[in-house]
Amino acid sequence: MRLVADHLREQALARTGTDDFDEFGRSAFNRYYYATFLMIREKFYMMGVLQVGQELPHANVPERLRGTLKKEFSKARLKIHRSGDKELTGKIHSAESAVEDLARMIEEAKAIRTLADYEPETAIVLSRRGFSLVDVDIEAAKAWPQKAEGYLRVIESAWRQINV
Amino acid sequence: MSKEKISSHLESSGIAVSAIINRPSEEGGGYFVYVNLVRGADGSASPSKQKILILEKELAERGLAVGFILTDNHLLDIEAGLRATLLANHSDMIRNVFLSLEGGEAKVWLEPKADIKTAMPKITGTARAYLELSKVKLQSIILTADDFLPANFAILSVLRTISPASLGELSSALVAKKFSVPSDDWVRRKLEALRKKNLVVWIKSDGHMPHTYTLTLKGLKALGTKKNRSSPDISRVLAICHSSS
Repeated sequence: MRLVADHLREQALARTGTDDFDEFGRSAFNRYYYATFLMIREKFYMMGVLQVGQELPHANVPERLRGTLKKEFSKARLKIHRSGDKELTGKIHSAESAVEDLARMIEEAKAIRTLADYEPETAIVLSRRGFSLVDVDIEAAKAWPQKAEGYLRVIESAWRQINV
Repeated sequence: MSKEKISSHLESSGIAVSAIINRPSEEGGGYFVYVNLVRGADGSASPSKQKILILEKELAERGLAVGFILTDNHLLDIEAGLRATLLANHSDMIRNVFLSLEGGEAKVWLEPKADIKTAMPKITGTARAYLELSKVKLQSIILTADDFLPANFAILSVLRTISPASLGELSSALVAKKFSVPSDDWVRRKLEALRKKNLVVWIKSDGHMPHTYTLTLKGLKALGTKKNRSSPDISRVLAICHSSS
């Protein structure tokens, strides 16, 4: 999916000044969002947060992160702090930060994808780094899946330690 | 009509709106309002979180349900600069860098290439110096890679399920849980440290059987329990059944 998004981004940049520029540009935002969403869903399956094959509505991702994961981490952190395992307490604290940052990022990504898909009157415009949609640069969108990968590694790492 | 009302209310409050769209009904309806954050000379972001909450409340009182989407181009600039700086200085250690910013404080997320522990003070110094130029305080640096070594809590949890267990049995059980276990000796040293904290005891065996380890009452209390289907007592009973079948 990231490959497709990168391709669409390149195609948009090659079509600046034509009617196709806008369509390729907004599709690139869409695909970067989906790449990120699918990555999170896959990790939820692996971690057992979702049953394999269980549906995950897009709007529920931040809620799952903040509701299910953050609450579990917070409960475990208090328990592990009492047991004196400082290293793991720190790891869980990092995972809690990752959960919050990922939730915030996917909320923004979803809102931009909604705009890209349903509001064609809000045009893609050229920017310093390529192009942007309501001030969100395509480079920022390109970073969504990369950042999600990092956040998810931190989350999974702590999750495995507390769910043995 | 409502979009104009939102736009005019926000503009009269000094907020430049990038776009307003309908929020999907399955997400509660109302509107998404896109606002680009502007950074002051001191690094503070405008509009502030508090200002946004006040505006949300004011609009809600007029019957307009609004969710703000705040975009931050400044973050992208700082992030790109920090990445370039750290990769230029520590390219043998770092694969990627990204940043999250809240309230003028930054969390730096680092993907290391190799064992980075000894280089961390230097890397932290470089990151802090760069961020200070942008009036941003470094809150923490978090590594995104993991060696998946079991923490003490995980070792104790696995031991509780299978105890009494020999060193080899415990190592195998940890590997079965997909942890990296460098060697039995590594596990032995971890257990020795836990024994000194009175969380684990060593049971001398009779004859040719290997010595075993089990948790102390303090160790059991430290782990706590759960009264649901993931109860450790149930896991233990299942492990005993499994090993005797």
